[in-house]
Amino acid sequence: MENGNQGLPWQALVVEDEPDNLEVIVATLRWQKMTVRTARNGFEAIEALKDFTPNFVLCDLAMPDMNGWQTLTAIRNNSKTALIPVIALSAYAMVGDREKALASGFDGYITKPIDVLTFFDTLKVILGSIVRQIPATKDKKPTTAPEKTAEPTPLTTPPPGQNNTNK
Amino acid sequence: MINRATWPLAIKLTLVMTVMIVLTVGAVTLLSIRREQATFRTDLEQQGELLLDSLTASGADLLYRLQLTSLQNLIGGLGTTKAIVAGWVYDAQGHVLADAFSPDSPLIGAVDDSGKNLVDSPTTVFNWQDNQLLAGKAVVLGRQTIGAFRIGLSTAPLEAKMITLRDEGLLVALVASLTGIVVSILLSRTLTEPLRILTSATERAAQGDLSQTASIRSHDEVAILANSFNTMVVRLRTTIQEMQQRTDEVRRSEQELKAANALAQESVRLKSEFLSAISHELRTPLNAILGFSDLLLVGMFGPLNEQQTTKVSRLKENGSRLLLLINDLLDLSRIEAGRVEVQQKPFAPHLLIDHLTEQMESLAVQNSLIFEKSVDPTLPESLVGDEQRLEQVIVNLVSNAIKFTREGSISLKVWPDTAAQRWLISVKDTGIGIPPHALDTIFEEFRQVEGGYSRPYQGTGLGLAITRNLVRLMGGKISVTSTLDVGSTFLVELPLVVAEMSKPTI
Amino acid sequence: MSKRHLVAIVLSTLSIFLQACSSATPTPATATKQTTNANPAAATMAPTTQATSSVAGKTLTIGEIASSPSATIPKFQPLADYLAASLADAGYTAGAVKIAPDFDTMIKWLKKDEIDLIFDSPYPAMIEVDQAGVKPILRRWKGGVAIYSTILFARTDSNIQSIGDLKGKMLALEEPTSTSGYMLPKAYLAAAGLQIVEKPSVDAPVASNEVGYIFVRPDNDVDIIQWVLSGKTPAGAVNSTTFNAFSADGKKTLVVLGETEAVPRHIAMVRSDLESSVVDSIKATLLKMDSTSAGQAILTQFEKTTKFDEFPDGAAAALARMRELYKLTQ
Repeated sequence: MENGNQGLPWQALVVEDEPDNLEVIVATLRWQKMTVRTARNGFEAIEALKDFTPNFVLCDLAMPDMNGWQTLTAIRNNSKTALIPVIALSAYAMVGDREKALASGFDGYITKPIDVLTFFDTLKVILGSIVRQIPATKDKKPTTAPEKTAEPTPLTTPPPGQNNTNK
Repeated sequence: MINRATWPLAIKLTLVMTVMIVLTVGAVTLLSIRREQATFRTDLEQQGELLLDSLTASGADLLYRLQLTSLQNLIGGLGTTKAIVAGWVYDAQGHVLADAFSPDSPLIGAVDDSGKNLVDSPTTVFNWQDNQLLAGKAVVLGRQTIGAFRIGLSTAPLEAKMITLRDEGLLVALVASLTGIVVSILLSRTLTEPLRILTSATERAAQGDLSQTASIRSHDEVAILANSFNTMVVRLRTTIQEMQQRTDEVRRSEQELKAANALAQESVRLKSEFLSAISHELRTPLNAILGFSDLLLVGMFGPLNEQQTTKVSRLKENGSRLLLLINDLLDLSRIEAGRVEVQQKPFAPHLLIDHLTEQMESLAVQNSLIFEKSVDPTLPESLVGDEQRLEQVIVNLVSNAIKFTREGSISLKVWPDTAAQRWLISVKDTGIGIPPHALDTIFEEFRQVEGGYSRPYQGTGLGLAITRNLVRLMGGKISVTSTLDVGSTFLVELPLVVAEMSKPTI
Repeated sequence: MSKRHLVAIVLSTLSIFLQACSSATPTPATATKQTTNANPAAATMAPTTQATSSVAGKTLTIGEIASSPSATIPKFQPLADYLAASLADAGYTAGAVKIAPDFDTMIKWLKKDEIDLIFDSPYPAMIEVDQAGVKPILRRWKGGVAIYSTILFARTDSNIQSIGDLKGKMLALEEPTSTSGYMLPKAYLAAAGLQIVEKPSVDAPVASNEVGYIFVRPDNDVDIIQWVLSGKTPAGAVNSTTFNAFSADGKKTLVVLGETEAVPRHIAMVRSDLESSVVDSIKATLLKMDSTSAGQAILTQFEKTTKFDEFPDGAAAALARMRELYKLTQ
């Protein structure tokens, strides 16, 4: 219960068409003290990202009008947003679904229903795998320096493909 | 062409058979004549011997007393028998005392000096001449040779018999030879003609004409051959027709198969999509249910009173069960769709069990149960199999056991049966047991024993079905024995494949 | 080509076969017709006897009177051989048997010393002793008996009850040189005072004061009983051995008229000039012949003789009684 307050001041964009689910995700993230913006579909997400650069995007896959894959493509195709980690959040739990998503370029894959209590750990594992160069800092900071303002920069460092020069 | 090929065989056969027949008949006749002649000679000699004996019997006393007239009468009386053509009586010195001849005998007036020889001979003396057999014998009384008798036996009856025999033999030989020649010709014809028919039939068959057969009316090997040939042709014809039919059928069924296959693939795809959609559609609301439950419980939306906490907890439990059900369903459908592959990799069973024991033990303790583990030390260090699936099986069985046991213990036992090339895992509980009527169906989907305990036995009812399917996939089998209110024992038998490396890499 | 070969083979085979047949068969001969061509040879009455075993050594010759030499010689030859063998030390190398056709011939042979040893019943023995000078040496148990007698008998329906009834009747006797078949019954009847007369045939008239008799034939006294039974003569006389051997049924139809005195059955005699050592040797051999199985076998073959023994009262006495009987008939 207590660790609910141990979250980082991360910024997240949640793309989800179903209102109840959207609310659950947002609440979970906020429970972890994150700053959350939402989008009801791909278009709204793209729109939101024009003036908002989150630490990561949580994106549902099955959405009307513009689904998760299309949204991912749009994010990647925009140089401004291309490096933002995009994590798929899907109720598709069949064998191959995860692999398919990762192969498409998603940085992570979380199946619904989410486990509220472990959701933050899951996120950390995913994002940690992207940002290898600072695992030590990241591991300790949530507990030791909760007050510190977000250090989004490390989190928004380029995806594994790009070699980061920072430290 | 055919005639030239056939005639020499017929002629050869005829020649060989004729020569053999003539030679055989000739040899047989010759032998028979020779034998008959020898028999007749012996017969005539025996006849002579008998006549001499009877002469001696009736003439010995006359000879002893030298009663010449009586002796002369005795000898002369022999002529009444046609076979006897001459007779002599000799005194002790071999001088002729009396004699008699048939009128045309060449011995009339001839000097006869054989008497001395006769009286000196202890046995009968035979002398074969042109047309007669001379048989003479000394007459001995006590130690005295008192003279001898001699008779001439005509060989005319013998000659007559010989002539008859020779004529018969010749006739038989001639008839046999002629018959033989005719038979030979017919035989060689009957032998070669069917062969010719057969040959031509074979040639036509070889050229692909299977519409005809060789008709041979005889009942010999050639006929058998012809029958075999005919049968073969018919079979060949039938086989070719069948092959054509089958080819057509195969072609047809190939198309059908392709269509069916496409259908099946489509069906699998549809089923998969359906499952995927179901899963998706169920998980989506569950996300909200479980998520809100958790958020409520962690006080995200403000503190809850006790009653609220209880209700939300139950809400979450039910949601969790629903999720489990969905997962199991997916699992099962994946297995049944053959989309689960069992790995064959080396693993360390001892380590696996140790690892699982921690997990199982804590689960058991949570339910106030004792967990016992026993692993046979002779179980190989390294086996080949699917460690993950194995773990799933064991966890399923132990979970199941815990679920249905209120008090007592859960025993996990693992041991090898090297002789049967298997290894076994048993999970024994002291639970509610399974009624006999349910033992058969316990491994089927959505089957649970309906027990009388107040505590609900949570579970999807798919665990044992999944377990059984997994065991089968691993090439093993699962069985259960149970006594109601005493407990149940699940036994898993798996193929024992020892990894080649003695020490598995972990 | 092939046909010619075939014909050639067949023909040659047939010709071989024909040759074989003809060579196996003698040339035909015509049947003969019987005709006799007498070819008389010069012959003496003397038989051309010849000892076959030896020329150099002496031959012991046994004489016998018989109608069939061929039947008789085999019975005598073994004895002749046996005795000759026992006389080997005396230079005898062979035994011979001479069969005389009749009594007179035998007497002649005896006189000419052609016979060394002879066996006969008392009456002819007496004649031989008297005429040819042979010497009796032993008694012979011919037919198993030492002595024998003669039984006179008649058919029961002949009304002859005693020898007295024989008057005017015919009596069948054996032969004139027979002891039992002639001399004994004749002497017996003569002693009874009957006059006995030989008749030429069975139906010849017999005077009421005489007894007629007729000789049946030599060498077969059994026929006398048959004669009587068949009614040819009402009465007969045969030796006791023969009569006793006749069947009991047959005897029921016969009545015994009387039995003569007994005389020795047979007498062995040697020629007078035979060396005494040889005679002694012969006697010794004959006396012990019945003590060996080989000797017994030869004796049995020799007309069922059981043994030889000495005359109880001496040889002379035996012949003396015979002479008395003979005188009685004269």
